[in-house]
Amino acid sequence: MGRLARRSSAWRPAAAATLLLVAAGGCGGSGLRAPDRLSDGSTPPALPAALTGIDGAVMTDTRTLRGGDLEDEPAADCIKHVPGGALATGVARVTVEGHTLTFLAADGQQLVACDGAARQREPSGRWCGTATTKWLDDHGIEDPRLDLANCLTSDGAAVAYAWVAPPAGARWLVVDHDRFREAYDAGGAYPVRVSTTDSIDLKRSSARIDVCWYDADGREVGDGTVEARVAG
Amino acid sequence: MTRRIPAPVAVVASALSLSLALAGSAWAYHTNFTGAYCNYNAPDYTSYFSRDGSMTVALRARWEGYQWGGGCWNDDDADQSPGDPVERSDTRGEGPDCSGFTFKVWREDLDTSNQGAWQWNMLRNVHGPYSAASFLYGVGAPNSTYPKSGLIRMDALASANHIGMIYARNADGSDQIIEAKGEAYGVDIWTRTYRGSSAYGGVRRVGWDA
Repeated sequence: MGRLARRSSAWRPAAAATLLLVAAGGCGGSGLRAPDRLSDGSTPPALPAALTGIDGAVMTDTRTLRGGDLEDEPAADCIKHVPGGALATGVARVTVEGHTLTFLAADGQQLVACDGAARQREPSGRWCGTATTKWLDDHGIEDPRLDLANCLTSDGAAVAYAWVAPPAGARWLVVDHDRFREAYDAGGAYPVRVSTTDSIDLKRSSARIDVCWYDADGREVGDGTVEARVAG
Repeated sequence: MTRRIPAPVAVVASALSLSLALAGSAWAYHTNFTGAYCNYNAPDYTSYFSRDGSMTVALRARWEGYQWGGGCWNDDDADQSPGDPVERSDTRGEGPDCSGFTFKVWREDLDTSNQGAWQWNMLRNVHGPYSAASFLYGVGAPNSTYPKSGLIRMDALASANHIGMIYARNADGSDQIIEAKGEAYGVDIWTRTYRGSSAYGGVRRVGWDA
């Protein structure tokens, strides 16, 4: 499951439908303030050197789970709902507004996410949401699988989650929030499950997520807006 | 959001990406059903909420189209946007997807904390906040998981990727399911064995008056 395959999928016409790209953009800017805590209360990891020029940016925590890691909570509580469990590895992320687990189901054909946050509208266990999509032969996905039904921040704000597949050459993904920027390690096997509380339109069950991609040296290699809708 | 002038490399990447996005859009809007006919009007509160009433709502959608992420259709028994690309929420075609269909037939609220019932006009473009997976796990105050053996008409069977409602139960244990099946099929009633599949769970809309 190489990064090249996933990258190429990012520009398929189908993916372009949900990725309306802005010709003049970027995630540089200033005047934003990086949060000093992630959603679990932990101190964020240091920004990679390649991204230190981005004002107001906070680094999310990303861990790859293998073998026994997937049998520990809270991952196990997510995976137990999937027939056959997980295949090989999972990617756990802690963001400013939530936490997620992404993994490939044992059949190798379904990409699964469990979404978590500080609070839930309706109690539903350790995880407040879930998403599943077809894992295509070229390791891409057709739809970001927006989830916004049940997850809340500690302040009661709705949290939305969506998968974003970085383009060729991308190593880091930066989500451009209203008050800060959030950097993700995009070098893993799967699309990046991002979270946001901005630009959620509950009337249309949709969300807009502004993103920028950077290569390993910190050069911007693309930017755009993910227009995601609840579907399927 | 503060923006800066992009580096040359970003211009190249963005120009390429923009052209691809536009190429996709030209195809995506080939019928523009939702743009031409659908609205965002407020729904009407329904004080009496029955399974028969929801069956009527569901049957009006029979033989209409299917739209990924959609929830707007007319009642002319034809798909006004056939052949849209699959799993594209921007194609603006006619019809619901499976979860949008269930949301509208079950007359749910956009506020997931509210169990109240709302009559959504057919041409109101609404999908609702739930995916099939959300229904499967009983997310939201109006939805609850329910033992499959006890499901009756207008209850639902959901998997992580699909949901359909029970129209009738067959003598052989299978069910007639009314569902938004896919772009190539639209909305109709099919005989299904979801009840016997381990991938499917039972879901019940809470609060029926009858």
